[in-house]
Amino acid sequence: MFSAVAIAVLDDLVPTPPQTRLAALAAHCDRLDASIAGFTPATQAEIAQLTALLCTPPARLAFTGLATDWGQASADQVRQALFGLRDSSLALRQQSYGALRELTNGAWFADPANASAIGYTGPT
Amino acid sequence: MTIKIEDLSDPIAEGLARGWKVMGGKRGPLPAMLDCDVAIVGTGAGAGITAELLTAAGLDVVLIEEGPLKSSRDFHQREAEAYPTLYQESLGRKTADKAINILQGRCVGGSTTVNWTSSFRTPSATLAWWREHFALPEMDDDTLGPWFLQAEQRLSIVPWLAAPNANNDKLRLGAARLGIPAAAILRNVKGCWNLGSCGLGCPTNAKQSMLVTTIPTALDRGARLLIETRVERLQIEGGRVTGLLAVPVAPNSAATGGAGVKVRAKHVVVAGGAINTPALLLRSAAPDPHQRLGRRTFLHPVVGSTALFEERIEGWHGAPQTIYTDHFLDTQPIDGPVGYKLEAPPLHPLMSSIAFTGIGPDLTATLKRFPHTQAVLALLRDGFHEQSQGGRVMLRDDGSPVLDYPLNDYLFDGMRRALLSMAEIQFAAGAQTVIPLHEHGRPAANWAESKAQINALPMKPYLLRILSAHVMGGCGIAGRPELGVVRPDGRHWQLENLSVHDGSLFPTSIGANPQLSVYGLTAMLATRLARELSGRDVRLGAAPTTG
Repeated sequence: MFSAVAIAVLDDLVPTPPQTRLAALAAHCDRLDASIAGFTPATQAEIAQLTALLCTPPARLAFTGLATDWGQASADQVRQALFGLRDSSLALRQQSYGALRELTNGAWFADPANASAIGYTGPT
Repeated sequence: MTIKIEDLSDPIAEGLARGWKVMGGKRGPLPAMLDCDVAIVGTGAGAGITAELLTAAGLDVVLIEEGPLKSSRDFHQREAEAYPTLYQESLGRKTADKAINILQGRCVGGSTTVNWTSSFRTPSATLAWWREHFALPEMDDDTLGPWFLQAEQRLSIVPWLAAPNANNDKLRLGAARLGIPAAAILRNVKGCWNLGSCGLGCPTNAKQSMLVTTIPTALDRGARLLIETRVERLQIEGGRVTGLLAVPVAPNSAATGGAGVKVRAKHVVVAGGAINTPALLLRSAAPDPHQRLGRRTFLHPVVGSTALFEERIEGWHGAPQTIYTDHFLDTQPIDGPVGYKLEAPPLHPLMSSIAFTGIGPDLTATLKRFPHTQAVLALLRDGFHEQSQGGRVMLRDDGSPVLDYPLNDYLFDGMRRALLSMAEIQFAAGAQTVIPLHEHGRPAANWAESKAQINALPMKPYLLRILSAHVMGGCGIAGRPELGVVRPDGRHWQLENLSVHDGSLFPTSIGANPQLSVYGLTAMLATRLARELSGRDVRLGAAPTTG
């Protein structure tokens, strides 16, 4: 799920050649685990609940409108699901959009190579 | 000869080698019991100032810090290292509805270890409001001036004479072209290398945070420091605090299950920062007959605007916040529509990618031009209007604190005006495009287009990117018990030997970056407390007095 979200959120910042992409996403998911380990127990519990919800097909469909599995959905389909969360009037959906986006960007740019790729030349 | 960062001395490593008494975490297990004159909860702005002054009076002090002891050798200017170790909740602290991200320090030195060095005295208009509405006649420029001066001298708070970085210079230029007064920000630095990594821990010890000033002084005078240790409860018996109970915590603040420590103290100073300080009093069931505890917690809610320039801005280089304008605070009444202060923040990739809005091509189009991105932020001055009562600190089931801060149309009105002001300034400075930090924000190519866009954007939580780096209030100081939690001398209205010495004292927001307000006010309170407890007169930066 987090790999599909990363591709949807970060688009072509995620490398496209299949082997490179797989490796980049595996490393991304490792960094995500590391960053979640740094959160407080209360936040970890919320992330676990969200992940469980999104990875249970009937709940995923009801909550996001995404009919296919995350791994089978196109980047556009995942983005539409995320936009649906963002533009919902339900706070839980809006919070979920924010959480997925924040977790994804935070883990992606925790890798200095990914920061360099957008032109960051620090640290000085 | 070039000096390298690796060659610089590390005052923490040297202090530990000299025999500082630091326990907890890797420094060894906590003792079961400690006795002292004064226990100080926290090691940030208020705690550091208080520790230096009380130890100068010869008092036996124990400091208790939830976060780790890190020092310049640990500060590698890497966001992924800094946020989990130095910030509350690994930079993930949010208001209860998750609409506002809160940046607060959690390490020895507290937020002073990671702040951006901006130093302002408490504005006169804010003090006047406190005198009038919170029965605090002493809160005026003449009384507080000498305390601010003492803190400024101790912490090398001086005008920053280097040229602003490009990010700040665009704020200066845009404001100048519109006839808006902007000025330079004073900074608490000594020999600053102008690296731009203040928020990640200063790698050169130039920032005069509590980590390298007051805390080392207190430790050299024999104070004991417990790290990676969270105070769970104050022990209250017969209208007095007799001590406190603290437990060891893991890097993510979870209790390790290891044995705790009981600290017995004649006096307790709570200085864990707004949110954590009121939460500790709530967990301890401190008396609150007037229902003031945790209430009126303010945030200076921040909204932001990014702009693309043809030239490279490289917002990560150079001192982070060096130019500001108070034009939008000074040109309207303090109790009118909410005013805002404008500043230019540092831009590092991880935090920026979270602060920027959108996903997919919208987001990546911005990120791909990151070196050309300039940003301005607006801090709203909350707490001066009946529609701005701030938030309330509450406890989760596990005892951890959470701030409920409702947003309303009063604040949204200010946010829209702030987005307009920032965009106008950015275009005046020559921006090619401006994007308001709003999920429906799009690049606008000129001021007219931007103005139309911002006026049409729905001002709503979650769509607007809202941050806070300044948490204030929750244990307000007041001249009458029904107006606040602590007395004008910083002592709790109902618990004589409990003091609060941090930003939670403020009855409103400050209307400026608050670190110097904390330093000045707590210097006054701690100097008086030192005299009351020891009979000695003390001063920041001076040699200890002898009895």
